[in-house]
Amino acid sequence: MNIRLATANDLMGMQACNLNNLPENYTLRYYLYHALSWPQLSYVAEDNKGRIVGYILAKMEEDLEEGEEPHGHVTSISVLRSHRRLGLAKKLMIQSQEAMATVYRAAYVSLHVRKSNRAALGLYRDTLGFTLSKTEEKYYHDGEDAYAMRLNFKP
Amino acid sequence: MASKQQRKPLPLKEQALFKELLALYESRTLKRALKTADQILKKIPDHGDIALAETMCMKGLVLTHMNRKEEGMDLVKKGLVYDMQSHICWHVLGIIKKADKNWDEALKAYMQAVRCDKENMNLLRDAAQLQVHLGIYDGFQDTRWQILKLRPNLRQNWIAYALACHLNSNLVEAKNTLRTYFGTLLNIPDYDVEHSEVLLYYLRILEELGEYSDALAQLDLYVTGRSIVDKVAIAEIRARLLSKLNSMDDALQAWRALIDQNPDCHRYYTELFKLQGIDINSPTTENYQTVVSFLQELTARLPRIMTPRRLLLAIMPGRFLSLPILTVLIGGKLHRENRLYIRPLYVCEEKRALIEQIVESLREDIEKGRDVAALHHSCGPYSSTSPFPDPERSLSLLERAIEHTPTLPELYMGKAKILKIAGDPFNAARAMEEARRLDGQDRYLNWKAAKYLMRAGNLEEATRLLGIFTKKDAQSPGADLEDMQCFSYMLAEGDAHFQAGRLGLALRRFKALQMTFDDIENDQFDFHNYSLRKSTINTYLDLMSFEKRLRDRPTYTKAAIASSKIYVRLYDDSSLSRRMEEKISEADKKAKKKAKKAAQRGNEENKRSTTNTTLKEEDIPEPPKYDDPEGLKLLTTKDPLGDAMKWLKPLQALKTRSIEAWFMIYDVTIRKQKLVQALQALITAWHLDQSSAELHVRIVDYHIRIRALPAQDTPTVALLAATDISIPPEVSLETYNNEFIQKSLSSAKAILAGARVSQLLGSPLDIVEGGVFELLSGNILVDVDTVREGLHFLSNIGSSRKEEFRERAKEKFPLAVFFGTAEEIRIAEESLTQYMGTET
Repeated sequence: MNIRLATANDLMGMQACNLNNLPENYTLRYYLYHALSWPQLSYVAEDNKGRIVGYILAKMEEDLEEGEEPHGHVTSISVLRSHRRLGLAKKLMIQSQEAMATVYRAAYVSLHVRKSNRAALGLYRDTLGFTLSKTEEKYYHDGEDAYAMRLNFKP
Repeated sequence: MASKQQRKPLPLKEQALFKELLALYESRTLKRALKTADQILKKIPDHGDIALAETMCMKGLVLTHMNRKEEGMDLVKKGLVYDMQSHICWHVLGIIKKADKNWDEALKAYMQAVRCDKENMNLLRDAAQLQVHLGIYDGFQDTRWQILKLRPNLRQNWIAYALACHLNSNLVEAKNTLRTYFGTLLNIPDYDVEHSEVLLYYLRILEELGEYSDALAQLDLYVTGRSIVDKVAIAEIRARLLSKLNSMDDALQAWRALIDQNPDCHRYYTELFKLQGIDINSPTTENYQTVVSFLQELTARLPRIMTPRRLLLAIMPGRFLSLPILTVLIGGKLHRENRLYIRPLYVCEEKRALIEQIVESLREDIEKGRDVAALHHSCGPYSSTSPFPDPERSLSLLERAIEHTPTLPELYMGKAKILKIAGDPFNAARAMEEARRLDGQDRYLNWKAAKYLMRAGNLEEATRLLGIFTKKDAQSPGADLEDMQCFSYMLAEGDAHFQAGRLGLALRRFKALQMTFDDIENDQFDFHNYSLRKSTINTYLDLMSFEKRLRDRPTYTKAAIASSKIYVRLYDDSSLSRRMEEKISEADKKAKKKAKKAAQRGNEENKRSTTNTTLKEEDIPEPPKYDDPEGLKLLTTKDPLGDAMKWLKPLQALKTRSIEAWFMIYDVTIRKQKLVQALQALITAWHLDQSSAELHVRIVDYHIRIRALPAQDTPTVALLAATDISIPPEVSLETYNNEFIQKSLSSAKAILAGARVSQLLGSPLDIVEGGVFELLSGNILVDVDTVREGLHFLSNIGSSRKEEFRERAKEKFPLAVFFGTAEEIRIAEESLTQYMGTET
């Protein structure tokens, strides 16, 4: 699969992929906002027909607390079921992380995952090397808790 | 003119009140603002006094915020009549028009306001935003120049002026503007991302001007000065510039470095070889070895990366491949995962043979259902997408695998797809549901199952499934999906209604999709100024070109085609909308209420998706949501062809590559007697695919109409005669059609088209029927859908042989429930519903 930087043209494909895969969805406006704020951070995986089969939608954390280091945040990442187990999520993640570190000098990247989503939890922890940082209660609109996870860039 | 009269200010006390009114409005303290406005208006008797104009307009504006829009607009209009020289009055009108997303009218009002107050920054900025949104680039450049002159100390204004020059095709001025701007900068901190983006924009301008060596020199300076921080952008620009400068060695190295950094980006490979004059997708015999050596070296160095291997597999001619080489390239064995790049190989006979050899070597495992992965592949050559579909064999292999591994959803999904294409949507939906039940947490399976149910006409169950993943507090699963702009859902549900003959509901769903595209287009408005603030001009320019081609997407195109088909049907059968209307009024009242409720739900946007954005929208309440839950208004339109054209116009303007869209443009324009436009549509379609069977039908249809024209209408005749699609007058259309059929005897679609044309030409019924029956005879490669079209056609022309055709179709396609009796179809539907009820 073709892995490349997401452009404005890809946003609708990313949105469709997200709606197919995940319960957390956004209007196109939110994708536009990402692309025009941090154009270097979002990547897509594309099949040979030009269809978006996976994506990472990422940003930099904007409201930093006193003394907090700049860091990236993965708003959403997913790969269509038909294209799973090809290591696409990892490839997308690596490209995005590289950009977070070089362009924005991010110290780490964070993300949220539903407490009940064991498949995703496994992916982030075992495949991508994230660690659990804390639980955020009632993070999701339906009242479910989220695990906040992070991956440090510096050894 | 009234407005030329002496400007008379309000009395002092009222002036103070007016100031307060402005402040109250700014802080959106609406009730008090309204009171204050009334205080002023009560004090001064209304004798058309110019002094009252601004108060009136402000009161009008306040009212529009309080959901009293009509009353508000009346006041604003009145105020404007009293004083047409007040920038406040015009500004108020502009704000209201902008909130309505009536950009044209808003701009007119803003330009009037600017005329009254030439140095008002807010007005100028808003006017500029409207100009760029409307694509009025010369105006945009003028306005941005005014702003720059007034406030040269703001960096944003320089960039905006450069952008305006750029959009208005004044590249040199854009370049000079940025250079002047750079000259004004003192010390820029390292790692300033926004400045880095401006520099990247500057390089883009240089590149567009063709000043490659300058651009390269600048790039090097920026890199050593650490002022561009985006490493990927640096490497890509360098590679591109070196290529354009024909710096062969450096360019090659630059592209190779990019491949090392992201070996899965296909464009890097394409560019690397393009530089050497090689088309990577089809290398010639001379340069074939260069490509293969490079890819082989890469495969050895990066054994875990798929792209070089996939490319090798694609370009190596079958005769060069041997079983061992192929085995290595696909990673040693048939993984379920590598089917994705093995599948495209089936089109090459030699490669397919090799893959079948591998499959064959695993025969025993497959027969016993042991090697599930290999089995999945073994269905490949026989699957519905292959040129030789053998659904029975594929299904029996899958069944065996399911016996062995009953927990793998992919096996059921494979079954579902085969059944779907074989013409059994009911069992297909059941198989997909079986897959879903194996992994209820997976939304992908959920969506597939719902989609298959919709295709089988079971919307109720589909909605129930969709509801598992939509927001629980939404009015309905569909409402949530619509809010989230889920096009595939709107399209699938519209299609399901269309298939079931519920034309009003189908139109209504497609209308929702159309309005969502409008929303997305309007969304762009806020981002004009946002990108300027963020300096992300390159991305912004990409966004602009994306928005320009927004509707040239398969989702829009499909909905446009389906809607136009319905409108054409409504036009051709004027009693249809009335019959539909009656059907609806008989329909279940409860369902109607439910749908109405859904349509009236508030437009509550996803909180998470908007609260994070820093864009502030005007908070004038949105105009009420489009009502008409059953699509009755759409169905009973006075101008079905005009409504169809509204869908098709954007596609026409964008010169869509969808031939089907051009057929619809033909079908609509020919009915409107627009002979030239219809001809244009045909010619465009001809350039897209000369051999299209649907095109043949329309070419003959057009000639029938032209030949029936009175002799004096020569211009159209002459116009047609000069085109590629013209049939010489000495050739009869019957002969032309017969030649067409003879020429394409092996194509099912052509056979059906031939039959349709002979019906158009008034051939006797038995000849037409005989033509359609050709579909089922002999060795023609024909799919279920084309035969189904044939059945519909026979039904439409009132053929008495319809039943016979259906039965013979059923013999040819035993899996196709479509060709069963009404009773058989009913049973299939019922058993699906029953199965859906069995979930524990």
